[in-house]
Amino acid sequence: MLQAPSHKSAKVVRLTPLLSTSGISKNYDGVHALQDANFHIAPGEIVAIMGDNGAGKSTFVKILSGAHPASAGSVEVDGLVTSFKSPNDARRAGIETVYQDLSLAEDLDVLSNLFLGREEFHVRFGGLSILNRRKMAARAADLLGEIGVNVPGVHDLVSGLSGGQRQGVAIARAAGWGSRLIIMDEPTAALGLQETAHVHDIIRGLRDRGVAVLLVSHNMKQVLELSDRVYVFRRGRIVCNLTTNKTGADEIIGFITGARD
Amino acid sequence: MNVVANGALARARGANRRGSTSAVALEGADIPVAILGFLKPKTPAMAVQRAMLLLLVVAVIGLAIANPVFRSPANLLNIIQQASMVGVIACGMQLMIISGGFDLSVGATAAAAGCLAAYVSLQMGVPVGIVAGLVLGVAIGSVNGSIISKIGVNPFVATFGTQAVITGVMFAMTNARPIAPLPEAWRELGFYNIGGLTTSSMVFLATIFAMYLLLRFTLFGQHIYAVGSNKIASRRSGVRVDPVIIAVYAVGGLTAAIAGILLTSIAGIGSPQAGTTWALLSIAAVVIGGTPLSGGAGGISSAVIGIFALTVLNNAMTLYSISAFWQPAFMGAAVLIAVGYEASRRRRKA
Ligand SMILES: Nc1ncnc2c1ncn2[C@@H]1O[C@H](COP(=O)(O)OP(=O)(O)OP(=O)(O)O)[C@@H](O)[C@H]1O
Ligand SMILES: [Mg+2]
Repeated sequence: MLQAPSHKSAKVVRLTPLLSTSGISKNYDGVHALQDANFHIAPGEIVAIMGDNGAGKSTFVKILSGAHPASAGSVEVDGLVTSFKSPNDARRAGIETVYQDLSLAEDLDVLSNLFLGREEFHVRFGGLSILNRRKMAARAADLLGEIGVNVPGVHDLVSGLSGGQRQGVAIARAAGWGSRLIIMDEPTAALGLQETAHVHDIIRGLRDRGVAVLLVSHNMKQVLELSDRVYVFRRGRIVCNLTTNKTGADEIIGFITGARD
Repeated sequence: MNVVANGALARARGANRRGSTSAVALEGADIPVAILGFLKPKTPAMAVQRAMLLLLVVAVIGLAIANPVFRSPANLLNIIQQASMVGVIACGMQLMIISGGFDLSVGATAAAAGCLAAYVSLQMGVPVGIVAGLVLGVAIGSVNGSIISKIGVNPFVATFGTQAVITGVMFAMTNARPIAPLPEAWRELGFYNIGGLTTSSMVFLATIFAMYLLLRFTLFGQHIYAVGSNKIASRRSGVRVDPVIIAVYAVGGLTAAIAGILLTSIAGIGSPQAGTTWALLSIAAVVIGGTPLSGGAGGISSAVIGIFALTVLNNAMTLYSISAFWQPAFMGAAVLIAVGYEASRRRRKA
C-alpha cells in the first residue's frame, strides 16, 4: 500500500496528515458561521467541501488561508499547532489559495501576476530592488508548462486572457512555489465545459505531484469525479466526512439538505 | 507549449505595454516586433497615447517647417523651460495616477515648499532653505498617502482637504504676501544654464529619467502598478499596499516641492499665490498622454507626451498671436478627446 501510486489507494496511508484542524469555530458578531470543525487532509489527497449557501465553507477556507483568524480551535500543520495571522503566514507553511474572484491584477501581464509579492531581483535594495524580469520570464514559462496552462505568452496582459486561461494563471501562481496544500474556492464556476476539463487535468496533475488539494465546489459531478473524500458543511457544522468511492450523489445530497444526519 | 515559441514576440509586445518603445531595446527583444506593437496597441489607453504622440510629432514637424522662429534652438530650449515646472509635477502625478489615485494638493504644496525654502534661506542660506522645502513636500505627501491608505479616504476628498489646509495656513502665516527680497544665490540658481538648458530644464529631464527607471525596473514601480490594478489581490499576494501608497504620495509631494523651489529660484520671491493651476494641468497632461485614471497602467511617457503637447500648443499660440484665453479651452478639449477615445475603444472591446 505504501508505494501504491494509484491515488485512491495511496490515501489509505494516513501517516501524519499535512494539515488538520480541531474544534475550529468562527463567530461574526454573534453569528455562528462555523462551529467545532474537525478536518484533515494528507499529501496527494483531493478533498472536497460541499454544502448549501451560507453553510460556512468560505469561512472555513479563509481561516485555513490566513485571511481570517478563528474564534476558537486550532490548526496543525505537520502535527504542529500553528496560527496564521495573515495569508503570508499560511503561504510560508506551504498553503496557497486560489480565491473565487481569482485575485489577479488584470492590467499587469501574466509574468507580473505569477511573481507578485515574490519577485526575483538583480540587486536587492528594499523598494529600489532591481527586478530580474528575464529570470522571472524563464521561470514563469517553465512553471506554466509544468502545470499545463496554455497562455499565448507570459508578457500578455491578464485582461486579454479567456476565463480558463485566467483560472490557469491563478492556479499556476498558487502551485508554483513548492506549495503543499492548494485551496480552491469554486475553481470552475465561471468556466465552460472544455475549460473545466482542463482545470480538472491541472488538479489531477497537482495531486500526482503529491500536492494536497482542497476543493470547495457546488458541482456534484466534479466532486465525484475528482475527490478522494468529501466533507459536507451544514449550518456552520461539518456533518460528515465521506470517502468518495464509497458514497454517491444521493447520500451527499441527503447530508447537504439535512435529510440525513 | 506555445509560451516558449512565442517568447520573443510576446516579450516585445509585453515590454511595450507601458507605452514606451524605448524600453524594448533594454529588454533585448526584436525591435521590428516592438514597432508592430506600437502600430497595434494592446489597450485602449495605449491607443490614446499613440494617437497623441503622432499628433505631437506631426505638430512639431509642421510648426518647424512653417515657422522659422519655432524651430530656432532658443525657442526649443524655451519650450523645455516652459514645460519644466508643471512637467516635474506631472512626473509625480503619473505615479499617483498609476497607483489608482491623484493629488489635488500639489499646487498648494509647491507654493508652500517654495515659500518655506525662501523663508528659511533668509536666515540659514539657500541650501538649507531648499532642504527644508523638500522635507515639507515629502511630509505633506506622506500625510496625503496616510489619509488615503490607512484611513481609507478617497484621493479626491483627501487631497482637496489638504490643499485647502495648506493654502489656508500658508496665507495666514504670510498674510498672502510674497517673501522677498531673497539672497542673490536664488537668482544665480534660477538663471544658471548649460548651453541654454536652464536649471529647471535639467531638473525636469533628470526627473523624467529617474521616474522612468523607478517605474520600469524597480520593485516599488512594479508594486505601484499592482496596487493600482487590484488592491485586494496585491494585499493577498503579500504586497505591502499601505506603504506603497504612502511612498507614492511622498514622491508626489517631493516633485511638487521641487517645482515650487524652482519657481522661487526663477521668480526671485517666495510666492504663496503660486501654483494654483498646477494640479489640474499636471493631471490633464497625464490623461492627454494616454494614462487612464482607473490606475494600473501608463508610463512616464504619458506625462512627457502630455506636458509637451500642452506646452507646444501654448508656444504655437504665442507665435501666431492667438489669445492665451483660448488655452484652457484647448486643454479641456484635449482631455475630453483623450478620455472619450479611450472609453469608446474600451466599450468596443468589451
Ligand atoms: N464577514 C462576515 N460578517 C458577518 N457574517 C458573515 C461574514 N462572512 C460570512 N458570514 C456569515 O457566515 C455564514 C457562513 O458564510 P460562508 O460565506 O462561510 O458560507 P458559504 O458556505 O461559503 O456559502 P456560499 O456557498 O454561498 O459561498 C453565513 O451565514 C454568512 O452570512
Ligand atoms: Mg462561499
